[in-house]
Amino acid sequence: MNKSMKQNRLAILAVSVCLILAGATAWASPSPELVKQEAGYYYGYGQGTTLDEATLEARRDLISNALTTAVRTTDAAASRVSVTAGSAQARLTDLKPFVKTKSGVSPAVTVRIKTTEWDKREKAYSDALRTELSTAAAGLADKKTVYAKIEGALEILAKLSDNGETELLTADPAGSELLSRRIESFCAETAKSFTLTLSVKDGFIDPNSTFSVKVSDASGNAVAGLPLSITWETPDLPTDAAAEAQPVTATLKTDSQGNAQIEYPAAGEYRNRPVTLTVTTEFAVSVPASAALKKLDAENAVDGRYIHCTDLKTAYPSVNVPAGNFEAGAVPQDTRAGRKEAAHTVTTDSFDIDIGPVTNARYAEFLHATRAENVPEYFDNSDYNQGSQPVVGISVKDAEAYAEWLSAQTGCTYRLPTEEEWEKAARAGKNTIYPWGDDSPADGKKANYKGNGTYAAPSPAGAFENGKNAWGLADMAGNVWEWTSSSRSQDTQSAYRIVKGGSWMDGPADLRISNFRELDGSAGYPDVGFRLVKEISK
Amino acid sequence: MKKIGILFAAVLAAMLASCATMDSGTADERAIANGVNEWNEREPSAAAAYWNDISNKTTAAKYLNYITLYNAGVTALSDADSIKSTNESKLLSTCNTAIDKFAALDPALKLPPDVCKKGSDLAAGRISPLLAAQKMTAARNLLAAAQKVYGPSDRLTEEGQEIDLVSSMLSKQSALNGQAEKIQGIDNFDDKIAAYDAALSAYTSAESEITSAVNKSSVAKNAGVTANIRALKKAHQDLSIERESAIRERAYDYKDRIGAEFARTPEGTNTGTMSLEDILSHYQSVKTNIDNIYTELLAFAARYPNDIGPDILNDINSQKKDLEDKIAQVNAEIRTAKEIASRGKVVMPIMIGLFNPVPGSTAESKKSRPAKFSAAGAKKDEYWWGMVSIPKNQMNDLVITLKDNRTVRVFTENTKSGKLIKKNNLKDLVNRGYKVGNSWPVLNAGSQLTSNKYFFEVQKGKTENYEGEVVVYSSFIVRMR
Repeated sequence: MNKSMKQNRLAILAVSVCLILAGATAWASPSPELVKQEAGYYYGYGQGTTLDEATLEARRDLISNALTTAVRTTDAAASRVSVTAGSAQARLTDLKPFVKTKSGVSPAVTVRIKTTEWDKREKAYSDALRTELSTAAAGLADKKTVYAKIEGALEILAKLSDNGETELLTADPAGSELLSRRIESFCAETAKSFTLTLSVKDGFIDPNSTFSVKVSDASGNAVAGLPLSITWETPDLPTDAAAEAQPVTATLKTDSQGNAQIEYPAAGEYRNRPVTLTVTTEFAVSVPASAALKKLDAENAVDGRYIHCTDLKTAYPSVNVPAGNFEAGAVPQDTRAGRKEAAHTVTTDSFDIDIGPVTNARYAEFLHATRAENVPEYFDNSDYNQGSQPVVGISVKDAEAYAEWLSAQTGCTYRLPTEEEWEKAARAGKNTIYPWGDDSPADGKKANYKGNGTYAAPSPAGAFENGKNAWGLADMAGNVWEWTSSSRSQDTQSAYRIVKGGSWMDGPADLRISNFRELDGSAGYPDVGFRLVKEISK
Repeated sequence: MKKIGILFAAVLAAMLASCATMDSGTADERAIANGVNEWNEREPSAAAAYWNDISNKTTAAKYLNYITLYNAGVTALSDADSIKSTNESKLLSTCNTAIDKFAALDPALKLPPDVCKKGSDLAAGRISPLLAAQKMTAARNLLAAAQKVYGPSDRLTEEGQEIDLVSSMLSKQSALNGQAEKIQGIDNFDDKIAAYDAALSAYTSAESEITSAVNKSSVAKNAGVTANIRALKKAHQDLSIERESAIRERAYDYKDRIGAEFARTPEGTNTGTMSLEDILSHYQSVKTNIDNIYTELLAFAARYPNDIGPDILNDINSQKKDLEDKIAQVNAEIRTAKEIASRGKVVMPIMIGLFNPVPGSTAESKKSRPAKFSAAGAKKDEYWWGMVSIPKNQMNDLVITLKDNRTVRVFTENTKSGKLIKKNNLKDLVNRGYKVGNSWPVLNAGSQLTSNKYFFEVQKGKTENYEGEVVVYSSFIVRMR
């Protein structure tokens, strides 16, 4: 080796060293998550327990990124598209890691693909998918049962969703209609004639009640194998139930007869209160992102409005009032009684009367079960809408409607008491000014009247234990006036009705048993409620 | 060798020159800019690759922390999906966490549209509950923060409308509350009720205006609007009940006072031994008091015809009528007692007139049943009265016979112990032409007497004692003849 050759070798060595030094600083490979992304590429990043797993996740991320970019060309705020691992496994199978972690480190991979290459591959993939799904869609009409058709349609929608193509894959290569929209329309058309029927009608249920739902199509044929969503919940209405009940949901499938048995919630909070059972189809479960299927589920729904009641007698306690004569009107010792309260002998049949006035909770049950929309005037007012308070703002017609409903539900005849029946019940066989005796209630311990010192609104029914009469009837004096069916008007068409008992807005002397007022029964008042009598069948 | 040295120096110089052009400040700025660009154009995590190159450790940490903040914000938004819709406090907390994280980002960093949409939807959903709880400042702050972080959106615009609407409602409510509170300071009842009426009218107008505004808006069913409409309705109801209660209280007061007056008994008096005059005096004092109260009540009822029902007035009227009946009864009793007392002495038996003896008849029913009278110690004229029933068309005569010859005069009406005889020029009915002995006849008495009573005067005689009898004859004249 001559000198010149030696010099050249040294020069090459020096340049190489320089180049290695420069390369080591400028072109060292970054960790996968720190790859600087070049324009014209889609990137994906993934981690896993193995390199293969990390690579698959990176591909899945890349596919999602690419599909999301495509979706956002038409809807900038569109949610990120996701694809299943299965879809990722079927796509870009030859894509190798662009950068990966060194061995010994938790595997992480970055993959990338040129956008032009992605477009080419995506077109091939989506064309194949369209062909497959279009073939399946074409065969839907030939399915034998209604649900088989829907099941097939849901499978197509699920596959579109799995592949991130719900908002991308058109039904025809050159068309603009999305395949997903076409299939959703098919579902809606097929399922629109479904009828869901509950086995139990609205109203009272007891612990022995059993529930089922039957689904049939337009021809009345049972729809078998249909997934249904069941929801039990409690309505937002005045209640005297102590605990809040959380919704209870379940998923069922109809049997070969189109029926599905429904279990009543076991939770104690679902005892003795109004409940709502809602049954819907569960198409959207297959494709949660599909607004069309959610709408379809909402349309294919039925609900039952029930009142769970373990014992009607407990829920509607009453006492018996024996038949016979009694002295109605003012008692001799009542110096406040006016001429209108003149004593007179009255004969009544035997009847049962509610222990207390009808409460908001009881009235809410009626509204719930009858799906009534005209709620009482004060149902939104927190001073008057507590479950245990007597319902107020009720016209005579409202009270009679409640009695009619309760009669239909129980098979007994409930109605408003006559003035004399009310008075007889209030006296409990005694000739006293007030239900508890002749003492004025002015001590504030027997009744709710104006200035009682405790309440400035209707009190919970039965709140004054000392005010009960000898038969245990509560609130016969004070709290709320109570509608009767009687009228003293000469006009038989008069809407005026007698109210008895006095109220939280009146002074103590108005609480006398023989006292009464005549009010327009077509209106509601903040201090007028009602209690019912139950006729004794002869 | 020299050449090698020159070559090495040239390469080294080139490297140094390269390093010189990539001085630390410029390189960091470029790294920051590239990262921001990657964040905005691709995705936030893509910026990490560039910001990792920032040589200034503090600056690098600051920028890399943006990715941490962003991820924390996105995580908060995702967490919100799993929070129950009824757990509003947790949803609000999560919403605020997301906003706080995103708000801490450099202004140059844009949030992806899907994140903005999710975030603004979450924030918009929290505004209504805040408005329902009348937390206006919190609602406004949340809207402002959400708009700043997520940019404008239809839902946030809608919530802005809801805030404006609720703000207007609360403003009205506040004015109405102020008006209602002033009522408490009014003492005069009529003024108080007038103030109630004005306030209730204002409530009605406000509700009407609000209903109109709500119906025109797109947020009519939003919780903030419905809750505040309910609150306004409640306030309206409460005030209306307060007014009704005030009137009822006043009406009760009237009824109570009237009832107490009716039930009032004379204090410290044994009512069993009260004279009629005392009883009358008591009742009249009751009536005076009741009339006064009733006059007030009538005026009250005239002012509030819808509040004082006919049943209340009827009841009081019936009680009033009872009292008037009692007073009339006592008055009648007093009049009767006075009148009886003024007649003088009564002839016993007073049933004299029921018998009409037929002269010569032995039938028990037709025997004479004279009404006998007598007196002792009579020092002046004395006056008597008796009852008799003589049909007008019968020729019956009433004859008063004394055992001595003192004079008798008979009258048709009470002479008030003789006082009215002269004063009223009362006619003596005795037919003196037919007087027989000491018998003083009133012929055809059925036609002459104007009532079933007769009154007679027995004048002072020679003695202080006298006695006599009154008899009705079918024909005294015939008999005498």
